[in-house]
Amino acid sequence: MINPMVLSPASVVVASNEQISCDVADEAVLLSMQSGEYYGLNAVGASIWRLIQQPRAVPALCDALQSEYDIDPSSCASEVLGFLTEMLALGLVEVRS
Amino acid sequence: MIASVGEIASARDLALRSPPLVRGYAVFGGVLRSALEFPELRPVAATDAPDWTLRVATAAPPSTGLTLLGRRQLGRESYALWRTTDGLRLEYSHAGACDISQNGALLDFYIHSDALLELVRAIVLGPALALALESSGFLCLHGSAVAIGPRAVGFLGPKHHGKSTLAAALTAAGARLIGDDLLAVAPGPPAKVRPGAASVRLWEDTAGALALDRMCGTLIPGVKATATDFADCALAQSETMLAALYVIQPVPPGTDGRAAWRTPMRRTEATVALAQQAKLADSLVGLRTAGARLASAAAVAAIVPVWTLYAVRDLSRLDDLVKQILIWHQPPHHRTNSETPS
Repeated sequence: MINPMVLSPASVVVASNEQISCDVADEAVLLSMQSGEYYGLNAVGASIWRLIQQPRAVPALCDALQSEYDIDPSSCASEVLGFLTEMLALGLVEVRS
Repeated sequence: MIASVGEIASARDLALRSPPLVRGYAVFGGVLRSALEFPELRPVAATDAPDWTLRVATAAPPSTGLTLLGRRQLGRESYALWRTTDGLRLEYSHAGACDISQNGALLDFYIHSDALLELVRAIVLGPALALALESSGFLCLHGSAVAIGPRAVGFLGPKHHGKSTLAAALTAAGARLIGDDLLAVAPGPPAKVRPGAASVRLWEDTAGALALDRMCGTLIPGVKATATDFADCALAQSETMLAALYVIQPVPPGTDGRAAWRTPMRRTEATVALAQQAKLADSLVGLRTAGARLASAAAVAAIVPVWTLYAVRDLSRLDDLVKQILIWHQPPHHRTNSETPS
């Protein structure tokens, strides 16, 4: 059985309920309900954040970002996984499968 | 001439007054009807339709129907916020408990018998009214503000970062005092700040360094001296549009001789900074309530420039700091309050 908390290139991810977020122009600010820390997301991070308000597979997430930004597929997958890994460690996203 | 209004009064003195006199005071653009005397506020008629009513008691507060929302510990003192059956309760280990009704209009303060009334007044004019104002949609920030010309400039930051000193020094230099400690900002647009308590609380060395007798008539002694009874021309008495907010970052004197410099914050950074400078700490109000303030902070950061103000921490450079801020914000040909005919 796959550990649901392990992030892989095929995972389905969703924004955690343990946060409150706010759009700031094309960026975003998040408050973690676990740590009480505030986080700022740049435009790309905010795009990912908006996309994962509903559960979404990482490949679908990358497809959506590639239609929005001029980025090659391998860099996109690598950077999205890096971002999600960081967000996962902060308790701001959950891995569903 | 500075006049003292007497020794620090304790709640024991208060208990001897029965029935208490009821007074009206102008604050935050409304009227506070109060059983407690506020020498730092401008008296007005004790209207039958006040915005807020403060009642005081020296009895213990009711102890049923309480749900803890947040707690904060500072040294030996603890602060807590509770939800009650009819609103909120702010509890201070060193002063007492203040019940605030759901609509924010009624404040019942149960004062400890040994509490300093200076602290009770500071709690009412700070956290208690901040909760009442937040319930009406204001963003309540921990800071001071002055009006320079037709626009307001606010100074934010933790304790001991020089907010009150800067507001007092700018007022002495011709700006008009809007408030100290609590800034009530209507997010707008346009964002406006309400006039707060017309007083500034200063440490003794700072109070001694400023020419307080040129701008205020009364100095109330206490843990900090409270400068009040300002001349009308030294006060902003109506809602004022916000030109800028500064988050003060004290720095040691540098080699380039500058007393102050500033860097603009990006909107995301400004939103976080404003949320973090809220008058009521996140740990007190609970993170869900704190998070709800983010929208107000973002709304203000979207239309008001927010800067980091690097200010040299040196009282002897205060005049240069004031001059620099006036250069940034004073409109051309502005008449200072000292030039205004009385």
